[in-house]
Amino acid sequence: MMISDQELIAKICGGDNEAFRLLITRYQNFAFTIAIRVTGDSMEAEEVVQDSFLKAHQSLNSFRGDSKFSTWFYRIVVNFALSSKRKNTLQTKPLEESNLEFEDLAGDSDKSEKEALVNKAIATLNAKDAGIITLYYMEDLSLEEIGKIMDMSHSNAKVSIFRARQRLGSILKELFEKNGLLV
Amino acid sequence: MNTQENNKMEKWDDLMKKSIQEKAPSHLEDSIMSMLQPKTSPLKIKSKSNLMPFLFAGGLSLFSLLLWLISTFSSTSYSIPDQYNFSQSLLSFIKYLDFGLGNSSLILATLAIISLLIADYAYRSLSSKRNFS
Repeated sequence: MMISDQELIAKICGGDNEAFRLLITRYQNFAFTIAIRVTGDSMEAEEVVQDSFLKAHQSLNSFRGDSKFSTWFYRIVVNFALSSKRKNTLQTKPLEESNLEFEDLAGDSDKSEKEALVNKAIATLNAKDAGIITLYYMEDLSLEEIGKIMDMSHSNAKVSIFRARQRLGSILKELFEKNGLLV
Repeated sequence: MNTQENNKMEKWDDLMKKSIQEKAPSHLEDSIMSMLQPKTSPLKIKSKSNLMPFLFAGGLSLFSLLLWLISTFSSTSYSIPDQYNFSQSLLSFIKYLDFGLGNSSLILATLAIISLLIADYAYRSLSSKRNFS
């Protein structure tokens, strides 16, 4: 039987580092997905994930369990990813360059042409839209949970998702037409 | 969202759900775990070059102690007045001591602060090397 997050957290607070390893195994892919979609750079995303897990480890004692652990943790990841993105925008790379990086990454992981175009489309969104779109499609998160993670109200989250999906839809349409692909 | 727009978006949804997930690099888990090592373990000095700042700070402290001892206890310039007067000679001796001690204390304090700063810098640089190597 799979051990619950709450049980893992209790063990970690008792000094069990192996329990923390289990927590990392459970959430690292989700955390990395959010980080890479927001930052658009794999190295930066790795740093964000490392910082997020370390911060979570330091603050686990203050986690009261009012919300799900995943909601609490994804909020840390999103905050680190957005601030890392802001910091690195000061040393801005040309847009084409950052998109190319994402395209290469997609190629490395044997993604289909369509999936590579999806990656490219997300990379052209702004950081906040990329984050919200990722949360919307990545897991079965409720609007309330997405709102909590992105630090916005339930209704704002709904509007933001709608707008981000619209923008993404038009970018995807353009990219698919340009490459002669059908959905 | 009207129905037409909704249908238009829904056709992308399956593709998005399939494509959104990325896999974290395999080394990520170990690198996070290695960062969790306790930071309060005793500092290990691995090479002679790491020891140099500590030796330098220790040497400087010893030198300042020596300087203080010399300046405090050397009384070469103290001379007995022509006409011996106990209270006057005591006063001049105290003045001499005060002057000598005052100056050497200042030098001593300065050197001690410099020594502390060097030792602190050395400790911090060694600690950071240990934590992130």
